[in-house]
Amino acid sequence: MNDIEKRLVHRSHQEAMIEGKDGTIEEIYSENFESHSRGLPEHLRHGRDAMRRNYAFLRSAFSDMELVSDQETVEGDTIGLHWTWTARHTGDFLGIPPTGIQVTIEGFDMLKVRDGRIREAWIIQDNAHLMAQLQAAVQAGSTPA
Amino acid sequence: MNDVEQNKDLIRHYMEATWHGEDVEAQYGAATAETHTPSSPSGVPSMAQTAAYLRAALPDLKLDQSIIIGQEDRVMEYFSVTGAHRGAPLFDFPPSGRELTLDGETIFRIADGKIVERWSIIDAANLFQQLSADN
Repeated sequence: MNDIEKRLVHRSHQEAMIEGKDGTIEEIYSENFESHSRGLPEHLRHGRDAMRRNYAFLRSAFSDMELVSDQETVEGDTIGLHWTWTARHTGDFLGIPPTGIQVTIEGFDMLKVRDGRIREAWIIQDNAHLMAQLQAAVQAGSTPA
Repeated sequence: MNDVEQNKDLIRHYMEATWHGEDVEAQYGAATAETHTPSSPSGVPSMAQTAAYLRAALPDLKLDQSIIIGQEDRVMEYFSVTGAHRGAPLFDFPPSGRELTLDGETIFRIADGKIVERWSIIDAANLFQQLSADN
Protein backbone atom coordinates (compact mmCIF):
# COMPACT_ATOMS: atom_id res chain seq x y z
CA MET A 1 0.00 0.00 0.00
CA ASN A 2 1.47 3.36 -1.01
CA ASP A 3 1.32 6.60 0.98
CA ILE A 4 -1.65 7.96 -1.01
CA GLU A 5 -3.58 4.79 -0.17
CA LYS A 6 -2.57 5.05 3.49
CA ARG A 7 -4.06 8.58 3.49
CA LEU A 8 -7.50 7.31 2.36
CA VAL A 9 -8.65 6.40 5.85
CA HIS A 10 -7.63 9.81 7.20
CA ARG A 11 -9.35 11.59 4.29
CA SER A 12 -12.46 9.53 5.04
CA HIS A 13 -12.44 10.76 8.65
CA GLN A 14 -11.50 14.40 8.01
CA GLU A 15 -12.88 15.35 4.58
CA ALA A 16 -15.78 12.93 4.19
CA MET A 17 -17.07 12.51 7.76
CA ILE A 18 -16.14 15.75 9.55
CA GLU A 19 -16.18 18.29 6.69
CA GLY A 20 -18.68 16.62 4.35
CA LYS A 21 -16.56 17.85 1.43
CA ASP A 22 -18.17 17.43 -2.00
CA GLY A 23 -16.58 14.78 -4.19
CA THR A 24 -14.42 13.13 -1.52
CA ILE A 25 -16.64 10.07 -1.20
CA GLU A 26 -16.37 9.45 -4.99
CA GLU A 27 -12.59 9.92 -4.88
CA ILE A 28 -11.83 7.62 -1.98
CA TYR A 29 -14.57 4.95 -1.90
CA SER A 30 -15.10 2.25 -4.50
CA GLU A 31 -18.51 2.29 -6.16
CA ASN A 32 -18.92 -1.31 -4.92
CA PHE A 33 -17.89 -0.48 -1.36
CA GLU A 34 -19.03 -3.05 1.22
CA SER A 35 -19.19 -2.50 4.96
CA HIS A 36 -19.15 -5.60 7.16
CA SER A 37 -20.10 -3.63 10.27
CA ARG A 38 -23.03 -5.34 11.98
CA GLY A 39 -23.73 -2.20 13.98
CA LEU A 40 -24.90 -0.46 10.81
CA PRO A 41 -28.38 -1.07 9.41
CA GLU A 42 -28.39 -2.96 6.10
CA HIS A 43 -29.22 0.12 3.98
CA LEU A 44 -26.04 1.87 5.20
CA ARG A 45 -23.67 -0.98 4.34
CA HIS A 46 -23.64 -1.38 0.56
CA GLY A 47 -22.17 1.01 -2.01
CA ARG A 48 -20.48 4.36 -1.58
CA ASP A 49 -23.82 6.20 -1.48
CA ALA A 50 -24.49 4.29 1.73
CA MET A 51 -21.26 5.73 3.14
CA ARG A 52 -22.33 9.22 2.11
CA ARG A 53 -25.73 8.77 3.84
CA ASN A 54 -24.02 7.35 6.93
CA TYR A 55 -21.71 10.37 7.28
CA ALA A 56 -24.50 12.86 6.45
CA PHE A 57 -26.60 11.26 9.18
CA LEU A 58 -23.72 11.61 11.67
CA ARG A 59 -23.28 15.31 10.81
CA SER A 60 -27.04 15.88 11.25
CA ALA A 61 -26.83 14.54 14.82
CA PHE A 62 -23.36 15.73 15.90
CA SER A 63 -21.18 18.80 15.46
CA ASP A 64 -17.62 19.76 16.46
CA MET A 65 -16.49 16.24 15.52
CA GLU A 66 -12.87 15.32 16.06
CA LEU A 67 -11.12 12.03 15.45
CA VAL A 68 -7.65 11.10 16.67
CA SER A 69 -6.16 7.83 15.45
CA ASP A 70 -3.21 5.74 16.56
CA GLN A 71 -1.65 2.24 16.31
CA GLU A 72 -1.82 2.31 12.50
CA THR A 73 -1.07 -1.15 11.12
CA VAL A 74 -0.65 -1.83 7.40
CA GLU A 75 -0.18 -5.12 5.58
CA GLY A 76 -0.65 -5.62 1.84
CA ASP A 77 -3.93 -4.00 0.77
CA THR A 78 -5.29 -3.72 4.32
CA ILE A 79 -4.92 -0.91 6.85
CA GLY A 80 -6.10 -0.90 10.44
CA LEU A 81 -6.09 1.62 13.25
CA HIS A 82 -7.60 2.55 16.60
CA TRP A 83 -9.37 5.89 17.03
CA THR A 84 -11.01 8.15 19.57
CA TRP A 85 -13.97 10.23 18.36
CA THR A 86 -15.42 13.21 20.17
CA ALA A 87 -18.44 15.25 19.12
CA ARG A 88 -21.22 17.44 20.45
CA HIS A 89 -24.75 16.04 20.29
CA THR A 90 -26.74 18.82 18.60
CA GLY A 91 -29.31 16.96 16.46
CA ASP A 92 -31.75 14.07 16.68
CA PHE A 93 -29.91 10.73 16.96
CA LEU A 94 -31.99 7.56 16.62
CA GLY A 95 -34.91 9.21 18.40
CA ILE A 96 -32.81 10.93 21.07
CA PRO A 97 -33.38 14.71 20.87
CA PRO A 98 -30.28 16.95 21.06
CA THR A 99 -28.76 17.06 24.56
CA GLY A 100 -25.84 19.40 23.79
CA ILE A 101 -23.38 17.15 25.62
CA GLN A 102 -19.93 16.22 24.37
CA VAL A 103 -19.58 12.49 23.77
CA THR A 104 -16.42 10.41 23.35
CA ILE A 105 -16.10 6.87 22.09
CA GLU A 106 -13.32 4.74 20.72
CA GLY A 107 -13.29 2.30 17.88
CA PHE A 108 -11.30 0.54 15.18
CA ASP A 109 -11.25 0.64 11.39
CA MET A 110 -9.95 -2.21 9.25
CA LEU A 111 -10.12 -1.23 5.58
CA LYS A 112 -9.24 -3.06 2.39
CA VAL A 113 -8.05 -0.86 -0.49
CA ARG A 114 -8.39 -1.85 -4.14
CA ASP A 115 -7.43 0.20 -7.25
CA GLY A 116 -6.72 3.25 -5.09
CA ARG A 117 -10.10 3.26 -3.33
CA ILE A 118 -11.57 1.85 -0.11
CA ARG A 119 -13.38 -1.34 -1.12
CA GLU A 120 -14.31 -3.06 2.18
CA ALA A 121 -14.56 -2.05 5.83
CA TRP A 122 -14.73 -3.86 9.16
CA ILE A 123 -15.45 -1.17 11.75
CA ILE A 124 -16.11 -1.78 15.43
CA GLN A 125 -17.06 1.18 17.58
CA ASP A 126 -18.30 1.51 21.14
CA ASN A 127 -21.95 2.20 20.36
CA ALA A 128 -22.96 0.83 23.78
CA HIS A 129 -20.96 3.64 25.43
CA LEU A 130 -22.33 6.25 23.01
CA MET A 131 -25.93 5.32 23.83
CA ALA A 132 -25.15 5.20 27.57
CA GLN A 133 -23.72 8.75 27.49
CA LEU A 134 -26.74 10.09 25.56
CA GLN A 135 -29.28 8.28 27.75
CA ALA A 136 -27.61 9.59 30.94
CA ALA A 137 -27.84 13.13 29.52
CA VAL A 138 -31.53 12.66 28.69
CA GLN A 139 -32.15 11.40 32.25
CA ALA A 140 -30.33 14.48 33.61
CA GLY A 141 -32.51 16.73 31.42
CA SER A 142 -29.58 18.15 29.38
CA THR A 143 -30.49 20.41 26.47
CA PRO A 144 -28.23 22.38 24.10
CA ALA A 145 -27.11 25.74 25.48
CA MET B 1 9.46 -16.88 8.92
CA ASN B 2 10.00 -13.22 9.81
CA ASP B 3 8.96 -11.50 13.03
CA VAL B 4 5.67 -10.17 11.64
CA GLU B 5 4.58 -13.64 10.52
CA GLN B 6 5.65 -15.08 13.89
CA ASN B 7 3.66 -12.38 15.71
CA LYS B 8 0.58 -13.07 13.57
CA ASP B 9 0.90 -16.80 14.29
CA LEU B 10 1.16 -16.05 17.99
CA ILE B 11 -2.11 -14.09 17.91
CA ARG B 12 -3.80 -16.73 15.75
CA HIS B 13 -2.91 -19.46 18.27
CA TYR B 14 -3.77 -17.26 21.27
CA MET B 15 -7.24 -16.41 19.91
CA GLU B 16 -8.00 -19.96 18.74
CA ALA B 17 -7.12 -21.38 22.17
CA THR B 18 -9.10 -18.63 23.91
CA TRP B 19 -12.29 -19.16 21.90
CA HIS B 20 -11.81 -22.89 22.40
CA GLY B 21 -12.15 -22.27 26.13
CA GLU B 22 -8.52 -22.47 27.28
CA ASP B 23 -7.19 -19.79 29.61
CA VAL B 24 -3.85 -18.97 27.98
CA GLU B 25 -3.64 -15.36 29.21
CA ALA B 26 -0.46 -15.98 31.23
CA GLN B 27 1.18 -18.17 28.58
CA TYR B 28 0.89 -15.47 25.88
CA GLY B 29 1.67 -12.54 28.19
CA ALA B 30 -1.86 -11.13 27.99
CA ALA B 31 -2.35 -11.42 31.76
CA THR B 32 0.33 -8.80 32.41
CA ALA B 33 -0.01 -6.76 29.18
CA GLU B 34 -0.98 -3.10 29.41
CA THR B 35 -4.64 -3.18 28.44
CA HIS B 36 -6.60 -0.30 26.84
CA THR B 37 -10.27 -1.17 26.76
CA PRO B 38 -13.27 1.05 27.55
CA SER B 39 -15.08 0.74 30.88
CA SER B 40 -18.33 0.05 29.03
CA PRO B 41 -20.00 -3.24 28.05
CA SER B 42 -17.80 -3.13 24.92
CA GLY B 43 -14.66 -3.40 27.06
CA VAL B 44 -12.74 -6.66 27.31
CA PRO B 45 -10.60 -6.65 30.48
CA SER B 46 -9.73 -10.33 29.92
CA MET B 47 -10.24 -12.27 26.68
CA ALA B 48 -10.33 -15.56 28.63
CA GLN B 49 -13.11 -14.31 30.91
CA THR B 50 -15.11 -12.92 27.98
CA ALA B 51 -14.74 -16.23 26.12
CA ALA B 52 -15.74 -18.24 29.21
CA TYR B 53 -18.83 -16.05 29.77
CA LEU B 54 -19.87 -16.41 26.13
CA ARG B 55 -19.23 -20.17 26.06
CA ALA B 56 -21.44 -20.66 29.13
CA ALA B 57 -24.28 -18.99 27.23
CA LEU B 58 -23.45 -20.32 23.75
CA PRO B 59 -22.09 -23.85 24.34
CA ASP B 60 -21.35 -24.48 20.64
CA LEU B 61 -19.48 -21.16 20.27
CA LYS B 62 -17.09 -21.16 17.32
CA LEU B 63 -14.77 -18.70 15.63
CA ASP B 64 -16.58 -17.77 12.43
CA GLN B 65 -14.16 -15.28 10.88
CA SER B 66 -10.72 -13.95 11.73
CA ILE B 67 -8.74 -11.39 9.73
CA ILE B 68 -5.21 -10.81 10.97
CA ILE B 69 -2.73 -8.22 9.70
CA GLY B 70 0.67 -7.30 11.06
CA GLN B 71 3.27 -4.57 10.79
CA GLU B 72 6.46 -4.20 12.84
CA ASP B 73 5.54 -5.07 16.45
CA ARG B 74 1.78 -4.71 15.94
CA VAL B 75 -0.89 -7.25 15.03
CA MET B 76 -4.52 -6.35 14.40
CA GLU B 77 -7.30 -8.88 14.48
CA TYR B 78 -10.96 -8.69 13.46
CA PHE B 79 -13.00 -11.63 14.71
CA SER B 80 -16.57 -12.79 14.69
CA VAL B 81 -17.84 -15.70 16.78
CA THR B 82 -21.22 -17.40 16.54
CA GLY B 83 -23.19 -19.84 18.63
CA ALA B 84 -26.74 -20.80 19.58
CA HIS B 85 -27.99 -19.32 22.86
CA ARG B 86 -28.81 -22.63 24.57
CA GLY B 87 -26.84 -22.31 27.82
CA ALA B 88 -26.78 -19.73 30.60
CA PRO B 89 -28.50 -16.34 30.43
CA LEU B 90 -26.51 -13.67 28.58
CA PHE B 91 -26.66 -10.13 30.04
CA ASP B 92 -29.83 -11.30 31.88
CA PHE B 93 -31.50 -12.49 28.67
CA PRO B 94 -32.74 -16.10 29.04
CA PRO B 95 -31.60 -18.63 26.39
CA SER B 96 -33.69 -18.40 23.22
CA GLY B 97 -31.99 -21.09 21.11
CA ARG B 98 -31.29 -18.45 18.45
CA GLU B 99 -27.94 -18.11 16.69
CA LEU B 100 -26.03 -15.02 17.91
CA THR B 101 -22.97 -13.34 16.47
CA LEU B 102 -20.46 -11.16 18.27
CA ASP B 103 -17.60 -9.36 16.61
CA GLY B 104 -14.73 -7.23 17.78
CA GLU B 105 -11.31 -5.84 17.00
CA THR B 106 -8.01 -5.80 18.84
CA ILE B 107 -4.60 -4.32 18.17
CA PHE B 108 -1.79 -6.13 19.99
CA ARG B 109 1.79 -5.00 20.53
CA ILE B 110 4.20 -7.89 20.82
CA ALA B 111 7.75 -8.06 22.17
CA ASP B 112 9.93 -11.16 22.45
CA GLY B 113 7.08 -13.51 21.64
CA LYS B 114 4.67 -12.12 24.26
CA ILE B 115 1.71 -9.75 24.14
CA VAL B 116 2.82 -6.57 25.96
CA GLU B 117 0.00 -4.14 25.11
CA ARG B 118 -3.55 -4.49 23.84
CA TRP B 119 -6.40 -2.24 22.61
CA SER B 120 -9.76 -4.06 22.36
CA ILE B 121 -13.46 -3.51 21.73
CA ILE B 122 -16.36 -5.89 21.14
CA ASP B 123 -19.64 -4.77 19.57
CA ALA B 124 -21.75 -5.20 22.71
CA ALA B 125 -24.47 -2.86 21.41
CA ASN B 126 -25.10 -5.10 18.42
CA LEU B 127 -25.22 -8.20 20.64
CA PHE B 128 -27.82 -6.45 22.85
CA GLN B 129 -29.86 -5.70 19.72
CA GLN B 130 -29.82 -9.37 18.73
CA LEU B 131 -30.78 -10.41 22.27
CA SER B 132 -33.60 -7.84 22.43
CA ALA B 133 -34.95 -8.99 19.07
CA ASP B 134 -35.10 -12.55 20.43
CA ASN B 135 -37.35 -11.82 23.38
